[in-house]
Amino acid sequence: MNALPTLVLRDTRNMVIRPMFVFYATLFPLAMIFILGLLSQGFYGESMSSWDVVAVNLLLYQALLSCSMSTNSFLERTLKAPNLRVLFAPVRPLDLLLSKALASTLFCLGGFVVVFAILEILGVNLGPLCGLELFGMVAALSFTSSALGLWVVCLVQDEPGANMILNLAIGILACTGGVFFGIEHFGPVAAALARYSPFTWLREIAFQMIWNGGDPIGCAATIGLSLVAAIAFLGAARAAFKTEDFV
Amino acid sequence: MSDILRVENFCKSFKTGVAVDHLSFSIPKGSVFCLLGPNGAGKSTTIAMLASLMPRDEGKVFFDGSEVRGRPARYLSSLGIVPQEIALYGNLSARANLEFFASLYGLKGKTRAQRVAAALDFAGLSDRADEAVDNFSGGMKRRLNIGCALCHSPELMIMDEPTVGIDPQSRNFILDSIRRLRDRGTTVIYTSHYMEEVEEIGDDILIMDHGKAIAEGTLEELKSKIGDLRHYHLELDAEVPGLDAAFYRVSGMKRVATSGSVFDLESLPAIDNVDAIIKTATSSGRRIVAFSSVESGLEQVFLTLTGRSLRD
Repeated sequence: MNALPTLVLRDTRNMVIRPMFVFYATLFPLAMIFILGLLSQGFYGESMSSWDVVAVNLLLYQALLSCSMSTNSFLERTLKAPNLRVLFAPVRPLDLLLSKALASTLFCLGGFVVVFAILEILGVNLGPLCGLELFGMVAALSFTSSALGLWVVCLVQDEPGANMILNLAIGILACTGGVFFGIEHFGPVAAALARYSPFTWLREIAFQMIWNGGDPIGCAATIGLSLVAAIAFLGAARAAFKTEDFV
Repeated sequence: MSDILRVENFCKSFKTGVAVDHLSFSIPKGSVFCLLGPNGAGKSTTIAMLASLMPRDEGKVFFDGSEVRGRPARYLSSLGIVPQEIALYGNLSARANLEFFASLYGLKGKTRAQRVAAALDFAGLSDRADEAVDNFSGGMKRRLNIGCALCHSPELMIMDEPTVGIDPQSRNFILDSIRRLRDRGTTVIYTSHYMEEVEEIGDDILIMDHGKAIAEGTLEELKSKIGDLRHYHLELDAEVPGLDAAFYRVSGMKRVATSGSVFDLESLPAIDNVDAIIKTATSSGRRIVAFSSVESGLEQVFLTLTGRSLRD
């Protein structure tokens, strides 16, 4: 029998019933967009509002933070033992990992639906078709990030440790990519870091989608590469997941 | 009676040393097979290898005559495993936990509902079925931990120290549930370091130490291994270095095991040396806190075979 749907349903429910998770997936990005949008009002001239820029930055940042959901749903203190009990049943270890990645992606997508809807209502420009391309991009990034989280937590074998590493890495990526403020004016090194930051590339593609009336090729390429990376991370997580290290 | 499980030459080493060392045993269908040993004897490692969660360095497992390799679904579906740790979703109800774990074995609909109801009844939790597990006492969680392992009606239950840290009432409930499982025809592997429990429920007992099987048989067979030596337990009010050597000089003394100020002594039965033992103890200048003659049991078997107490 295929236990994957049962596992995904259980893991998703485990996230939905946690108020902190729901806050983190919905109110947190909205609050951040509101605060940073307010602080950077007028920074981007007449052609675009600060809300448009900040919303894209923070939606991409939020997608990258999906990894903390998957690490938590896998090895959080109260969930570790029942999660591993699953392996007493005829369930493939890969299904256990896959269910965490899919559940955290689904949960984050639920949050994004709420955030996108509110931003649309508030008149933030998310691109054509109510930001469908941008939504596809953050969905794919969310899945990749979830898979990355599983790989790291399987290597570290500790949820707080894995989250510390991931948050630090994503924080550096976000800062060099100018999520909170541009770093180009801090000198040539900072400017080079900003130029070559993967986050800058993601943001450029997103802006192309929004302000050039859609960028199906850029969107498809980003989604495709994200999915390839997600599969690679899941493969690496399975290789690193030695059940004997967790019992 | 045919064997449901046969283990041949199990070996497992970690960086820290050998955990299981050429362990072999077989378990007849419908029996309670106990693995007894101190902490670190290799019991949990053996269980993890049986559950296909840990690869073995060497050795084979045969279930119902067929060799088990990897994680075959038929084998895993026949096992009900009760881990040492409470492995339940605390924010879910008892019923939701049972339904979830039962569904992993392909149970659904009416069958699953019936099995869940039966497991709740077995665990004595029917009246608390819809309450969150986080609100349960330690004993109730332990009982539900067992219930989750038997929803799919396994042929072989593996219980890894299920009575650790619970009250006597819940402990008795668990021991009674093992007898009920045996009466149903379910085979049980039970690991423990509590010899009283093992004496109470074990049909066959395997004593492990440092990853090795040091003795195996029924309780009577194991007792017969140590002959009819007389056992004494002596406790002084303080440690006395070198007193064990003095005890060895007492006529008829065969073995002396020391743990601080506590002595376990084994002596030939034909020689009345109680007075000499007491005299030796008091001549050390310390006061005797306790002295008793101990009936032969697994503790004495372990002591005789290893030279140390099971509780050391």
